[in-house]
Amino acid sequence: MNVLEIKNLTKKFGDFIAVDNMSLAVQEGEIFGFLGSNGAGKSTTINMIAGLLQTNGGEIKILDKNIASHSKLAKMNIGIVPQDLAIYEDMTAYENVRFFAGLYGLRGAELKERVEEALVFVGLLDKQKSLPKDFSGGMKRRLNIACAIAHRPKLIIMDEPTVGIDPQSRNYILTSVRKLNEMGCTVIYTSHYMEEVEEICSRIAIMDHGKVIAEGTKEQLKAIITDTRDIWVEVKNTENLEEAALKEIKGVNSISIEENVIKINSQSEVNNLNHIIQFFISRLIEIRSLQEQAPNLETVFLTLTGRNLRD
Amino acid sequence: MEIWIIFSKLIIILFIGFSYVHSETGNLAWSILLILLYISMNIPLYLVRMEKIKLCIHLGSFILICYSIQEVNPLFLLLLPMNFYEVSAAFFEKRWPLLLVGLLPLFFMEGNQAVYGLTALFSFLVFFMTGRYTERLTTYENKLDKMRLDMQRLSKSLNENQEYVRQSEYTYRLEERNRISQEIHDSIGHSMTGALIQMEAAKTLMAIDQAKAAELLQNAINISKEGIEDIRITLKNMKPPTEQMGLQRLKLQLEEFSIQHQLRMPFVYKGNIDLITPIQWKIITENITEALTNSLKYSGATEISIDIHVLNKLVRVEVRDNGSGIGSGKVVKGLGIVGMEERTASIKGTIIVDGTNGFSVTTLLPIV
Amino acid sequence: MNIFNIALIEFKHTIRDVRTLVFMLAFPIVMMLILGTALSTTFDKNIKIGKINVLYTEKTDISFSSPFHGFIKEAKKQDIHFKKAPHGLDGKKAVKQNHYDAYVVVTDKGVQFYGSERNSIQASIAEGMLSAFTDKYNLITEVAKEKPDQVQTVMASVSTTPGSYVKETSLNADKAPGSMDYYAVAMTTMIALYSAISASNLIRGERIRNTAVRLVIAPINKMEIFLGKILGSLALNLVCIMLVMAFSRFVFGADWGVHPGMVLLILFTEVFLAVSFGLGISYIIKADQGTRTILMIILQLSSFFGGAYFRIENADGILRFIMNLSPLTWAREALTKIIYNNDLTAALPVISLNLGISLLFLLFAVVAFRRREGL
Repeated sequence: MNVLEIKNLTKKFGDFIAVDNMSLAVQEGEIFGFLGSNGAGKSTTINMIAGLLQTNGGEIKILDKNIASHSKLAKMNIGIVPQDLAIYEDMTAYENVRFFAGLYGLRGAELKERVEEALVFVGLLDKQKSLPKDFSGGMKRRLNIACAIAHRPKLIIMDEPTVGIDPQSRNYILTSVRKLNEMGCTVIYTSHYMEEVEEICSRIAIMDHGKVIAEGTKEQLKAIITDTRDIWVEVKNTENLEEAALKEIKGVNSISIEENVIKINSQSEVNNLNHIIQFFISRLIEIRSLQEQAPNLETVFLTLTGRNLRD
Repeated sequence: MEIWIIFSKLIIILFIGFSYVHSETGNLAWSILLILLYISMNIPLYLVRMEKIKLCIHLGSFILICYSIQEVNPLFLLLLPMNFYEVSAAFFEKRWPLLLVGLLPLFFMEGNQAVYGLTALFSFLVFFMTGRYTERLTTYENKLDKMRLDMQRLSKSLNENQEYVRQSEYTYRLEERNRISQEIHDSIGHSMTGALIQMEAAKTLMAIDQAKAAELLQNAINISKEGIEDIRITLKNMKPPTEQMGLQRLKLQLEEFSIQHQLRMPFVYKGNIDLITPIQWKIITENITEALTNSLKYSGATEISIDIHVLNKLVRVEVRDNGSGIGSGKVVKGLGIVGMEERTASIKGTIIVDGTNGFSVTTLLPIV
Repeated sequence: MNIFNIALIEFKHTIRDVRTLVFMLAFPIVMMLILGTALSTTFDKNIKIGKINVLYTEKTDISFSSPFHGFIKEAKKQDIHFKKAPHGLDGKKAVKQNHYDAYVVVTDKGVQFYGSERNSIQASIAEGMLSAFTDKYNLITEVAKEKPDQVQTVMASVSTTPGSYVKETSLNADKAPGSMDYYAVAMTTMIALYSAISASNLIRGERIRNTAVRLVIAPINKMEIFLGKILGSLALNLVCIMLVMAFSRFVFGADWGVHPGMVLLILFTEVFLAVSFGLGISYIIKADQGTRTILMIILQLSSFFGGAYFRIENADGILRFIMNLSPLTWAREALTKIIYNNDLTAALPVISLNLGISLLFLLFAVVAFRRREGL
């Protein structure tokens, strides 16, 4: 089932088109990544999904229901972790979560239970009576998440949840995203940190200038660029090298030798590293170093758009 | 425009006449004379074309009006604003000060202020509104004319092109037919004749020398085989490789453009160009042309680089200039870009337009 | 329910904002203390007139001069000193030059009185006494015509009871605001008006804090948010005002009259006015800094001309008009009437005016609010 389906979505700010005829679908159980530089239209798209902005065309469906006509249902099922912290600094952690959960119609014992559940989830239960203004950046981010999940939404949208925080909190957040996903939540995760998206997302849409320019699993995205990888083997000497035999190894496309570095171009899908290493060992050629040059999402983005992600 | 002004002048004159008759003052003869004089002075105003003469007439009208005010009836003042606006509109860009000047007599006159104010405002409104709308009308008409001309030209060139296409198609076909017949004649014809002779000989020798006949037959078979191979080769040779066509054509075009507009235009291509299909070449070429025209028009660039990169599953074509780009990074799509988008979308591709570092148009086309 | 929740959260987090609380509570109280004590003299109930000097010339026969001299003698006891003008001195000029408070010319036909314009109080006291005296004298002459034998008794009463020439006419000397009473009312009304500042932040604050996002994405109506916010702000500001009132009443002993309900009602409508005004302004002016500046200017002007810092007396013309533009003036004057004159009807115009203007601003804010994407 499609948790989210966007068809021909468009958003204009005056003459400027922030989201340009965008279509995509997010299936249940996915961690779907929006990857794009600042101003690519990620937040605008999310704001339209959340109902914060009006659309200028196209439609958005949550759980197969158009959000224009089923706004309440959509809102009940979405939880949003905004890019900027959205918490009351002078209300305790508990009060924050309870207030926002309360807006979703939760009351009494159920409310209390859900609030505690959310606080436990982000690891802030022991800080529930403290004020967020005394929190570290990472703790505030976690509280920000707790406020979005207490009502148990089916779709959680996280807009750059790891901007400007320490590595531990970042790991914690990434882990909790996975945990949420395991608990059955579909997650949309936007970031301009390629590593994060690569690490946790099952499917990714690369966005630029309000358009989805590529979409798929990370393998599919990398395969757009190339289906080969380069393995660079630096050896002590290349005298005993039988190039023909090396080429015989399954998956190897071509070989070039520059001084003591043997550059082997091989198909990405074939896992032949063992064979290659075996090849050198059996011929008593000493390997000095070995590195693999495979594309990552950053290179995918760079190749497609000609710009760096963090420009 | 003039008709409206003439009518408003007429209305004012009628008003003056009417109120004059009602007020029952003397000097009726004088007034009629003056009004007639005014009318006869103002009629040629719309008949002559020379600006200087018009100016003189206006001057005359002013003097006439002033005289009438002084000597006959202050109500003649009402005629003043219209003439004043007519004269002054040509010299001043701003309208509002003119209105104020037109209202100035209010402070010097005695009585009738309301009537004069009303007339001045009315004249102002009539004059400038008709002016503005006439102006707009003329621009629209001009535009329409231009569009009509454009359309004529375009349809003409379309017809010509169609004619040309038909012509060249026919020529090509003819050429191809010639070439094929030549080829067939040159290679296959010879082989076939050779084989035929061999077979004829074999047939004659069949009874006499069977072994010899068999050899000849074998020869014929070999020749036929070669012939078939020749046919294959000929046919293969006849079909030109698409990538060569697309690439060459593009290169040619770029060179031409570069010379024509004195621009540096580095062109780079990477990857397996053969994978680009003819239809993709068509769209790539069109998009590049469009992007070049865009850059030329808006960017003030001195260099436009074209980059075709065939990736594993995608063709990426980038046209980037070193011009001013768009500072805000917020690109406003014009018709050209929309056209490119539509073209590209028709084969499931995407266009990225970026203005952060010069202006660039990137076409992404999937390889099926 | 959501409205209530939102109101509650607004209430709570404002109350935890120490700066706002200090501003809303400590500021008016300290101001009351400072202004109330520093300017207490201008509110003194016992005005010391001091010695009154009156110059007089006599052009008359003896029949009138005798009672007149009796009057002068008695007047001296009241610290009103009559001095006969030396020959050649222009009495009117002397008064103009402020040597004397009044100049009296006694002739056959009557008494002419020239009062000093500078010392109007002294002059009018002298005038009052004189006119009382002449009235009595006229009475005597009338009596003398009818019953000459009674003249003596009347004469005696005239010359011996000068204390009764002037009668105190103050309605109730004790029922007039002292400085602390005045500033208690002024500061409370002023601080009620200052609710506009926190109100201008009601929706904008949510936007700045980004919590607006959460409110909008929640499955609640936008109007619920709006009403909740207003309710919370109203409640908080009302509590603040009641605290200020209570403090001024019990610690400073300010007089709040015997109709606390009506007083509170007026203050409530004023808070309502301020809140909707602040909210409306925050929607009219888009720039954040601009809103605050304009609000501050308007509030300061209203406070100043509304007499929050010092009492503006006897204003007329333009000044009166400007004063009447200040909501503080309406509220303060209505409250004064209620507290000191028990005039409950005075509340009606101010309440209806406050509510009317509030609704106007609120309506504007609602329209702008509904049109806006997000909050």
